[in-house]
Amino acid sequence: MAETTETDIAIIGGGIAGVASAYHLALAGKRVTVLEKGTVGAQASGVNFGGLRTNGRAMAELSLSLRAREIWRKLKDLIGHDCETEFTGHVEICDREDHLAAVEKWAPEANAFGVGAEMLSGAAVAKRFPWIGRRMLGGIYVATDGAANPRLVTPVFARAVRKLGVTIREQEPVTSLGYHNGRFEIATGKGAVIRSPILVNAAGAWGNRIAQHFGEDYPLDVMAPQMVVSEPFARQVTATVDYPVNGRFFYARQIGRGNLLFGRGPGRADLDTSRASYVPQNVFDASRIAIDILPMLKGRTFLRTWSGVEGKTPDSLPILGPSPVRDGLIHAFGFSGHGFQLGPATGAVVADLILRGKTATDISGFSPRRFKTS
Amino acid sequence: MSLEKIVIIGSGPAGTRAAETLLRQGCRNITGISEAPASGGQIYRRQPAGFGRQADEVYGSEAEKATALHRSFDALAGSIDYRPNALVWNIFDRKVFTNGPKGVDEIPFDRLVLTTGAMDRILPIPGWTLPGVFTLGGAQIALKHQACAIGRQVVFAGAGPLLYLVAWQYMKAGAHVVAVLDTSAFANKIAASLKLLALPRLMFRGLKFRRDLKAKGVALHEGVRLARVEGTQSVTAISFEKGGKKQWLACDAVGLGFGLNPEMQLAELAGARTRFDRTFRQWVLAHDGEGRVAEGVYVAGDGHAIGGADVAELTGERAAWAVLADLGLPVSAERQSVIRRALKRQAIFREGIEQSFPLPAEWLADTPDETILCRCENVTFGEVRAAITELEPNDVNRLKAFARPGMGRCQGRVCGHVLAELLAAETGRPLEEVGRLRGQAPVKPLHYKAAAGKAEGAVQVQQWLEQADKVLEDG
Repeated sequence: MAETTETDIAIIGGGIAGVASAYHLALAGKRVTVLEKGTVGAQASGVNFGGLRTNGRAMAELSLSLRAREIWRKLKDLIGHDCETEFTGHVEICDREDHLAAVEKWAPEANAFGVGAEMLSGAAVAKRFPWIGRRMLGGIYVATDGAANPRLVTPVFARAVRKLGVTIREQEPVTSLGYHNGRFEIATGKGAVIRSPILVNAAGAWGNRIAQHFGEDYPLDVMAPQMVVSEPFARQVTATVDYPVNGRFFYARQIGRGNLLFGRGPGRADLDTSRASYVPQNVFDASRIAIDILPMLKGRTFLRTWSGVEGKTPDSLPILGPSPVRDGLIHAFGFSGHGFQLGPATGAVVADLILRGKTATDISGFSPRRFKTS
Repeated sequence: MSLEKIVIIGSGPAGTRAAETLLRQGCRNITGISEAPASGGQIYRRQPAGFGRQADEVYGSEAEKATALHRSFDALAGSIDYRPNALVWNIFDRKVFTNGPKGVDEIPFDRLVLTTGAMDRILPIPGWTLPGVFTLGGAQIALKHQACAIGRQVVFAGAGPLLYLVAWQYMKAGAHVVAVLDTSAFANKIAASLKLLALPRLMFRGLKFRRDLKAKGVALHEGVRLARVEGTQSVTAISFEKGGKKQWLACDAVGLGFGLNPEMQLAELAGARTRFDRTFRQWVLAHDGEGRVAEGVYVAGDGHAIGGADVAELTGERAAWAVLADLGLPVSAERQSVIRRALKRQAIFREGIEQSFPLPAEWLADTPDETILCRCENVTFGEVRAAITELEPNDVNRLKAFARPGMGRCQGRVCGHVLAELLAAETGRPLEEVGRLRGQAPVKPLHYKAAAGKAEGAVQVQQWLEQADKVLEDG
């Protein structure tokens, strides 16, 4: 006879979205069980760039992103550890008229939400960020953006969540999933059965596989961040910098202890093996950009490259909201490489939806209904 | 004859014998890559041009083997595409990525033979990062390659056959060897002597080293527990305990080592799997008994499991026969059987060596918190212990992610096994359960400038940047 556990809310996926959802729900006194097929924060939540950026976000994401920014500011109070969170600013730099025009259009709309973006002239970029090695037409800067250590955030969140009484079951993949008599029934790879009236699908890149159990089918692709880290050197790069080259962003930041981290895709990922690869061509291209934008790298070496598995939707916006077909099922997946910063607020929104049936955060752009699901 | 592209990484005893056999049996499209400027590997490392020391001065009793191996390689070097001074830093999509005198290059292969050798195994003791502390292998290379000693008054400490060999080589070269501090008790060697007798010549050679060292007045201490390398700016002494008595020896250099670890990162990137070997107390490459580790990928030498130079020659040839069999070319069943028998004797001897010189891993539980565990990232035992307690990592990769050990320039080659030992000890789990650090590219640091110079891949980027320059100039 399989071990059966009753819980108020079951969450599939121990990434930042799932664990933060558990956090907010546990604070409200709910019994929560999180199921994770591997270890918490080991996929997209753990291997990403660590950027905490509101700058340049799609309008549809700003409401959620700004809510997240408030949570990140008090992270240490919430989970007992700052996870190397720092707010050193984020600058997107432009050397193309069309890019500059797009940024100039975005800034006032975003500032109406309260982002606090500041337009900079080419001369101002050079003066504020003397370490940028190329002349620019201009840029846009958000001083309150920052970064955190993604390898720490979700595991530390998980530690805090466990202290609140949440059960996190690691190394327990879902083997079958059904709905009977008002209860979701989830069987796991360890032979356990979890029964719960409410289910949160926070399975990231694997989110559609969970949705498919209920006859839903979302257009979810996979992507793989491509990260490169340098040897440590005295800190010069004082803000996170974003720069589009040939339709793909090159983004870089230097952490407090001196390593410089940059990324630029596309990578390669496999859902079945949960493995992603760093494609060597990316380090050639990105290094070519890097020594132009960050000339201090010219004489330096990089130590490591890595990747991870992320889910991507056609419009690069998450699928966040109640399932159109199954009451009690909340989707929160497909964050398309933007999920780290949004994570803590995603958890708050999921809790709002479950506890109050609505949320003050504008998530209209994330509705699962925007896709034809069957 | 075969024109399939075979890439051999490494030109030590294993790589040389693999290339020789493949060439002799009709393979005509072989690329040999070596990180060093010349063949020979670490064990038979050649001196720089212009050095005139005789082979027997450099290689001692192994001079004949070294010379024979060098001669073999020199004879074949003209018949293969030989690329010395080239670091292989990645293997991806059946291509080998190198960085050499002409920059970064990609070499596609049909078959790949990996003979990547080994690196010293270290157990950190307080003071192990002081200037003047070298690994045993490093101390030996300084002598073999450059005729340099690591200090004026040298102590060799640790465990393993290299301990006595290097001390003896230093003594022969005229260096002042203060003492050999062997962490293994004499009784361990007695207990292992039957196994060691599988290769009597090697056993008696080891005994001769001890005798010669004693005759020259070098103090031999066995069954010691190393306490600390003393000094503030550099090494001034080493302290240790023997039979409950604390001792102290003045010196200005220490050669430290506890056997070797296979260099398996490239094999992992090529798709090989690893397995834990209880006898060796370390991870080795899982192969089919003939060196096959993945489709078209073969391994040999210390890089797949520690065996020493003779085993490297044998397994290098064995891997070549496996390649030939897979190519449908004739193989010599007789040679394969000779190799199998020789490797059996070697395996018994290796067991004897492991039994003679067990890794004193139990020390780690008492290593002080302030001792550095990862010297690249400057992470202490205390910081690692705190991460283990607070965040409960289930394996070493997770521990690395939490506290940074193994993230630096050496990518955990030095501290990776220590990290696993410590995690296992602190959590009471078997060593094999806590895993090992995964190999990641680049396996050694690479210059951004070298990567950026891979021009054909970066053409679009180049054009983009040039266009932007033009816009700015026009504006």
